[in-house]
Amino acid sequence: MDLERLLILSAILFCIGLYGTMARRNAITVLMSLELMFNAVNVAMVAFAKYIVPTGVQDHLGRLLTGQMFVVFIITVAAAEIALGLAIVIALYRNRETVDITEASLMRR
Amino acid sequence: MLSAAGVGGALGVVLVRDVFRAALLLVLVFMTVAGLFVLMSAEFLAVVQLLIYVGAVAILIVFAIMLTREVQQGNLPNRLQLPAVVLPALLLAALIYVALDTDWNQQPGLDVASTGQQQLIQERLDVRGLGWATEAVQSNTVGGLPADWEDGVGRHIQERIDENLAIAEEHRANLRTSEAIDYETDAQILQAELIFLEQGRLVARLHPAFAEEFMEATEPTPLSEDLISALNAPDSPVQDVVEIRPKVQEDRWWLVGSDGDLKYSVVPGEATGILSVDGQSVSVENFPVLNVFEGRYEGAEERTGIGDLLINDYVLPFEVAAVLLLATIIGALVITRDR
Repeated sequence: MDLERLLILSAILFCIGLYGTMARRNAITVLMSLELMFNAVNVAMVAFAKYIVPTGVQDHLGRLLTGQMFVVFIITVAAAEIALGLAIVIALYRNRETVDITEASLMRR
Repeated sequence: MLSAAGVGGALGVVLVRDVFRAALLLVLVFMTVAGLFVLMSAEFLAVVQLLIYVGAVAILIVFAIMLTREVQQGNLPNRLQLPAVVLPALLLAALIYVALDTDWNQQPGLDVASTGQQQLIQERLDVRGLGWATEAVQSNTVGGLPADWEDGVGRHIQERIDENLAIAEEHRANLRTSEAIDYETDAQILQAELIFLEQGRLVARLHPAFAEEFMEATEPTPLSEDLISALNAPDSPVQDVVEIRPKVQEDRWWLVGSDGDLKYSVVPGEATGILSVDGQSVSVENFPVLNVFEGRYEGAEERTGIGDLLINDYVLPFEVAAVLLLATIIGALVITRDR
C-alpha cells in the first residue's frame, strides 16, 4: 500500500468517473460518476497527507493533517453538490417527465 | 483486495444498465474508499465517509431513482462514446506516468553535497576516525555547505529567521502561544546555525533517518561550557541542565539537571543535530531549546486532532462550508418546491 499504488488507484477511479460523466445520458448516473471523481481525489489527498511530509514541518503535527482537512471540506462540498444536483433532477423530472440530460435542452436555441 | 473491489465497483457504476444496481455498486465503492482511509490511518475521515456518503448521499440517490422511476430507461449511453473513452484513457495514461515517474522521496531543502564537497567532508571526518559520519557522507545523507557558500546561505538563513520571528509575533498578538513558541524555536535553531556558519565551521544538517540512528547509538552527552550557558540563559525555558541523554524513551531526549535527576523531556525537531568540526574535536551537539515539555507531560502522546484544527487554523473555511450547506438546503427547497 505505497503511494504510487494509491495514486494509480485514484487515477483509475477518476477516469472511470470522467467516462461516466461524459458518456451517460441518465442524469442520476452522471451525478454518481461525479461522486466517483470526488472520491478519487479524496483518496489521492489522504495518500499525499500520509506519505509526503514537507521538510520543516515535522515538528508541527497540525500541518501534517492538511491533506485530511482538504478531504473534510471536499466531502462537505460533494454532499452539497449531490443534494442540489438531485434537486435539479427532480425538478427536471417534474417539468419535463425525463431524466435524460440530452433532452434537457431548455437553454439551447 | 480493496483496490480491486473499488475499481470493479466503479466500472459497474458506469457500465451496469440498471440504475438502481449502479447505485448499490456506488455504495460498494464508497465503502472501499472508507476502508482505504482506515488503512491510511485516517480513521476520522473513514467514519465521515461512511456517515455522509454511505448514509446520506446513497439514500438521496436511491430516493431520486425511486421518484423518477416511471421514466427510467436504464443507463443508456449518449452519442459521445468515442471521445468519452479516448479522453479518460489519455488522462489515465498521463496520470499513471506522472505517478510512477516522479521521485516522491526527495527532500526539498536538503542540499546533497556535490562530489567534491563530499570528499572534503570525508577527509576531515576520516582524520578524526568517525566511521559512522563517513558512511553517512558516502550515502549522501549529509548535506555539506562549504565556506564560500556562507554569504548566500547566511543571507538565506537570516531571511528565514526574520520570517519566523514575524510569524511568531503575529501568533503572539493573536494569543496563540504554542504556535508562537514553535516559530520562535525555529528562529532560535536557525540563529544557532547562523552562528556556526559565521564561525567558519562546517555545518551539516543531519538527515532524519541518520539522526535517528545517531540518537540510538549515543551515550549520555556531557555538555560543553558554551552550550550549558546558552541552555541555561535567563530567558530560556530550561534551567540547570548539565547533561543530555538521547533516546532514553521513544523519540524523547532527557535533559538532566545538576542533581542527576531528569528535569525536562525534549522532542528534537527538524534540526536534530549539527555536526561541528573545529580545530580540536568533532562533536554532535543538539540545540539549546527545541520543543520543551515539562516532566509531567512525558509519556503522554502529543497529537493534534482534526477537530482542534477545525476550530483553530481552519475556522474560516469551516464557516464558509457551513454557509454553503445552508445555501444548499435553501436552494434545494426552492428548486423542488411546488408551483
